[in-house]
Amino acid sequence: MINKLPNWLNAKGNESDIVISSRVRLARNVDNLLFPHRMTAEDKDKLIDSIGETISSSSFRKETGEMKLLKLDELSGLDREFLLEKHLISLNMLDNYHNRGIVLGLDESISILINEEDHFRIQSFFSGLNLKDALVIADRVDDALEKFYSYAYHEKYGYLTSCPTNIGTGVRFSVMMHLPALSMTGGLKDIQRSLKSDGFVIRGFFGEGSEGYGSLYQISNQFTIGVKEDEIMLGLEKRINEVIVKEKKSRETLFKQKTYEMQDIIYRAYGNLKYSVLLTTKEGMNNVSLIRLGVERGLTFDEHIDYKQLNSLIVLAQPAGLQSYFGKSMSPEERERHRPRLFKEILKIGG
Amino acid sequence: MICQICKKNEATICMVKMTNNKKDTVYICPTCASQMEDQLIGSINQLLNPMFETFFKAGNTLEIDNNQICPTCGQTKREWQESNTLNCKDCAQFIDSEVVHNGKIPKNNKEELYVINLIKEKESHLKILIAEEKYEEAAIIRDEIKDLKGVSIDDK
Repeated sequence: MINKLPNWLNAKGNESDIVISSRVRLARNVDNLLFPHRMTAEDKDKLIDSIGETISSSSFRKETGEMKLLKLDELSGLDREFLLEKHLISLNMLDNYHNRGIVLGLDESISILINEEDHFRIQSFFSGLNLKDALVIADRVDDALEKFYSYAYHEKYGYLTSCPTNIGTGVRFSVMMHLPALSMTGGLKDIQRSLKSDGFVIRGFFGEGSEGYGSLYQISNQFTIGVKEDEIMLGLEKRINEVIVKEKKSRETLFKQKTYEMQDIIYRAYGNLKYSVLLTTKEGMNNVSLIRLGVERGLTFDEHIDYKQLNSLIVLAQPAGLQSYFGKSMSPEERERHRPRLFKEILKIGG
Repeated sequence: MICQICKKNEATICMVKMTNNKKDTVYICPTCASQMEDQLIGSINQLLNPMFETFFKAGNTLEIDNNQICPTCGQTKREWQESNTLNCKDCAQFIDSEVVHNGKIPKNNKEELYVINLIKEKESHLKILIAEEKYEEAAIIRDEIKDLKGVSIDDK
C-alpha cells in the first residue's frame, strides 16, 4: 500500500490544468493527555495503540471506511521518506519519527497523523480544486474520532493545539497550483502581497525556499480562529479562482507576445528529458513544468501527454519516489542516472 | 567567617566602605551590626530599606506568578511567554486573544456539558427539596441524578 501513488495526483478534479490538489488539515488533541511534545514515549505508544483499536472497531469503520495504522518506527527509512514526498507526513515527523504513527485510508486521500505537533492531525486530499469535499471527508473522520476521544476544547478559544497559531478551528486549507506564467512574468510578487493582507500565504510547494521549483506553489490560510471553517474555505477558494484567472491571462499574453520563444523553451524541455543522461529532481521538475504549460496551450508532442502522467512525476521524481519506482535503493549518483529513464517511461518519450 | 569586630559570631554582613577610591571591606555579625551606632549604619539602613521593600514587592509578584502556573502540566506564565506553546489543555488560561472561536464544536463535548449542567441543576433542586422536607420528590430527583451520572460515565 505504501508504494501506491496517491489519488490526489490523478488530475480528475476541477481546474486540473492549473490546480494539482486541495488539502484540508484538522488539528486535534485529547483533553486528558499532555500534548505530544510533553508526553513520555510510553504515553505516545499508548495513544498509537489506542488508535489502532479505534480504527479496527466496526463503529469507526462504518463512518470512515477501512483504515490502516503504520507505526513510523516499524517502517524503513525509505518508506518514511516516500510518505514525506507524498505529503502525508511532515519533515518534522520524518526527522523525529519515534513513537509516531499515521493512519491511512485505502486510497491515501484520508489520513491521520498521530503524535505530530498535536495528538491527531486529520488530513484529506483531493485532486484539483475541491476544498469542499476535502472538508466533508476530514469532518467525517473528525466526527468519528470524537466518539472515541474527548477533545481539548475551550469555550472561547475552540480546539486547543500545541501551537497557538492553530487554535480555534484547527483547520488549514491548502491548494497546490502550477503557476509557470506568473512566475516567469514576476506577477507572483503582487499576488503574494495581496494574499498576505487577506490572511493567506503562498509558498513553494517543496517547502521553504523552493520557490520556482517546477513552478509549483501552495496557497493556504494563515488564521484559524474567529472565522468559521466554511468561511475560511470560501475566502481561499475565491482567491484561488482569482489566481487562476491571472495565470491564464499571463499565459495568453506570453504566448501571444513570445510565440516562438515559448515554443522553443517548451520543446527544448522535452528534448532535454529525451536526451539527458543525468538528471536532478529540480531539472526534471522544471522541464515537466514547461511541458505541462505546453500541454495546456495545446502544443503536441511525439506521444500524447496528459496531466495525470505529469502529476505522478511530482512524487516519483523525488529521491524516495524514484527508488520506489525502480524497487531498489540507490545512491544519489545512481538516482541521477536512473531519473531520465523514469521521465521517459512515464511520459512515453522515445517509444 | 568570624565577625571582625566581636571575633565570636559568624559574620553574615559584608560592609564595603569607599574612601577616596580606596575600598575597605569589613565582615561583621548581625549583633555587632545592630550595636554599631555609627553614621555608616544609618546610611546602610537607608540603602537597605528600599531594597527590602523592593524585595518584598518582588515576593508579591512572585506569588501572583505562582498563581499563574498551569495546574495540569506545571508550565508557568513566564515559560509560556517564551515557549508560546500549549503543553496541555489547561495552558489555555495563558492565551490572551480578543478573537473568539466561531466554528465547529465537538458534539459529545456539548452533550457532556449539557449533562453536567443538568446534574448541577438537579442537585441544587434536590437540596431545596430536602430543606423543605419533601422527601418523596427528593427521592425521584436523586434517582434521576444517579441515572445522569451513569450516562456521563458510560459515555467516557
